Amino acid sequence: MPAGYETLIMVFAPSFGNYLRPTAVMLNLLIVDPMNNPISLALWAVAGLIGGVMAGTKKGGFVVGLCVWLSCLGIIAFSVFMMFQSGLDFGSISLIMPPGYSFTDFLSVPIVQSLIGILISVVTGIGEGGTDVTSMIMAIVVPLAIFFLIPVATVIITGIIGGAIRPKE
Amino acid sequence: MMKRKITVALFLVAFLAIPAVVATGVNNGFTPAQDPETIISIFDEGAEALFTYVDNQGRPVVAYAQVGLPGAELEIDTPKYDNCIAMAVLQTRGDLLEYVLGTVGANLFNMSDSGTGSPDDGGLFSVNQILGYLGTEFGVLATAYLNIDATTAQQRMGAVVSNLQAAPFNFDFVDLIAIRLDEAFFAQLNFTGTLPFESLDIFFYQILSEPADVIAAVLDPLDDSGLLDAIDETKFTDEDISGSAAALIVIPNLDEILNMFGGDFLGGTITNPTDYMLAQTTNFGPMAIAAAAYVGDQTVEAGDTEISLAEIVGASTVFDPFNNRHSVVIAGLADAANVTGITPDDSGLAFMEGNMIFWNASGLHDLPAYTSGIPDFVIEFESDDFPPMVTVTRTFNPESVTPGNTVAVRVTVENDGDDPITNVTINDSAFLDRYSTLVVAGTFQTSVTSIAPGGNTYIEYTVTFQNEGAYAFTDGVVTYDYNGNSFEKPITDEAYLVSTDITGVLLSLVQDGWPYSGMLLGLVGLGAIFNLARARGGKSGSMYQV
Repeated sequence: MPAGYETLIMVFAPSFGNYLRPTAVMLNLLIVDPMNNPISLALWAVAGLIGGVMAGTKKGGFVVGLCVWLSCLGIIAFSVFMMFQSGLDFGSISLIMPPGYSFTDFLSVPIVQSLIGILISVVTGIGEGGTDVTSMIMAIVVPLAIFFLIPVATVIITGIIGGAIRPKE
Repeated sequence: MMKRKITVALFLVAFLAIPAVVATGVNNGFTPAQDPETIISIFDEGAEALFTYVDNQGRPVVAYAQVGLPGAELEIDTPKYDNCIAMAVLQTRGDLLEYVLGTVGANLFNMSDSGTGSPDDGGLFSVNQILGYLGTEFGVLATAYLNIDATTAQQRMGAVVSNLQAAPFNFDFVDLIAIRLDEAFFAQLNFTGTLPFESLDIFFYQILSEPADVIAAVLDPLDDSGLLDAIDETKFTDEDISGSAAALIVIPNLDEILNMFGGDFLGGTITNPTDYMLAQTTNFGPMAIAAAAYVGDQTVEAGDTEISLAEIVGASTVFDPFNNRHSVVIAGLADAANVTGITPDDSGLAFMEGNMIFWNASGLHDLPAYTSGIPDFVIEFESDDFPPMVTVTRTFNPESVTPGNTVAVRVTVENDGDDPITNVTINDSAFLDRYSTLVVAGTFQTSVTSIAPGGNTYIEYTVTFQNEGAYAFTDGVVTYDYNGNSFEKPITDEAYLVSTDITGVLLSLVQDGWPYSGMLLGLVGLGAIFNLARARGGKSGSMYQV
């Protein structure tokens, strides 16, 4: 996992609880910008390939890939749920940076780097298209949605490939 | 006022302070604008400056800087620095940045006269608050390229990074962000002004190297035939210091920048020495500035009558300034002290303004008495206002724990001086309001009437952590009185790590998530039992064919 996530966990886990770590791990896996996070993309590809080979058929590879992605969704949903169940209060979150850490550490988080690029394009879009709030929101949401769908597409495709390449018994 | 002078002096070390001292002598009316040849010679030949200041707590701030031609190790004349307007490496540790910004923050952010700047005091916001959120410890490499395509800029940046990752620098980087500003970008923002460039690519990298390695990377390639040879570089990384910083700035072509900003962009109005210098531009070539600084622990105490720079910087040899370049020494003392004398005090080569002293070390070196070097730079003073030597320490036992366990914390105040201190208050309760999941017990603040010489007092408390993470033990403070004056000594800011291994992570997840985690494990277990039962029932042949 990128070092920035470790800083994020070290800084915010005292307030968010021990389920912040699995949430951050799942977030790093589920929202993937291929340009900034090729390792996660590779993990999905390998997982899909192995699952497809184990399933043995294209249909099986598709199902395995989809189930893997859905299970990751379930894990992050459970982790977020547990963060709130443990008594998370947004009003009491400590924003004090502990000595030895700094805001720049967060900039190494791939999703943060992607968001900065998105926000810069939103800023340029303000001048081009006026101040249409809907357009601004779409300019942020659409790339994030694409990053969200990249893992499921990757794991399904590689799962199908895995099922296709497995020698038939 | 003195604090502002200190901070301004720190920033001027590499630029205007050097020509000011070199050309001033004892001429109180000198301004840098009167001697452009000196300014130009600074950039052509190089210079160094050593700065020291001791505050009213007896704490020294030390900074050393060299400006001049970049060393061969930087490979400035290779294509990777073509179109590069600047490359900067900066790393800070501890409270040095807070110390500096705490003095200039009032000016930068239009804060109230009270200096805190908090909204309660009528200010916009508190600099300390901002630093608390952003952190004061970071390491960044930033480089900017002008008027080239993005791909070429990226390639050249990669070559710069490779050079800095190799010996003698051995930096360790991770890339952060890259920003490209060009005419298309500004056109879409409806910007109608004239830009002094066609495109600007700015790259940011995070420095992962340890502070000691960064200090070494900045100082080791420097020319140590001057004052640097006398300085103990370990002082910059000593564990007793409360903060340090190192910076390396390289400008491959100073002329290009001056030409870009020296014309209509400035409006042609000369109102200060900087504008005058820009108007006197000649063919400036590459330039590098390297600097390191630290904030030390108390070294001056009640009863002291002089400050020795050799002692402060840990000099094991005489100060031997540059032979053919400019060397200056700047030293200062808290306003409360009355400076009674300085050494050396040779006419025309030492200049005193209030409690700030400027020495032309290069000029002193030319005198017969100092051709073999200058033994020391000393400030003699009278003062009843420095406190006794007081040390404040916070210890954790054990040094790290896992979630669910307890640490014992002890804050000790020791009076190592010859006189008692009175009305001593220890307050280490600031962290209590930050974390709602802590279970605490013990004493977080106390007051005692006095601490005799050689005596101490302490507080002890325990903290039980439920969650992993780095817990900020900051903003603790010790106050005391001595000789009619009140002093405030901060307890060193620390982060206490509550870490866990994979087994601990899983256990804490199950415990924290109970009963939901139990239900989930039960479901998984039932599914496994079901499939095993099916397998034993002879349907394994179809298990892996979906």
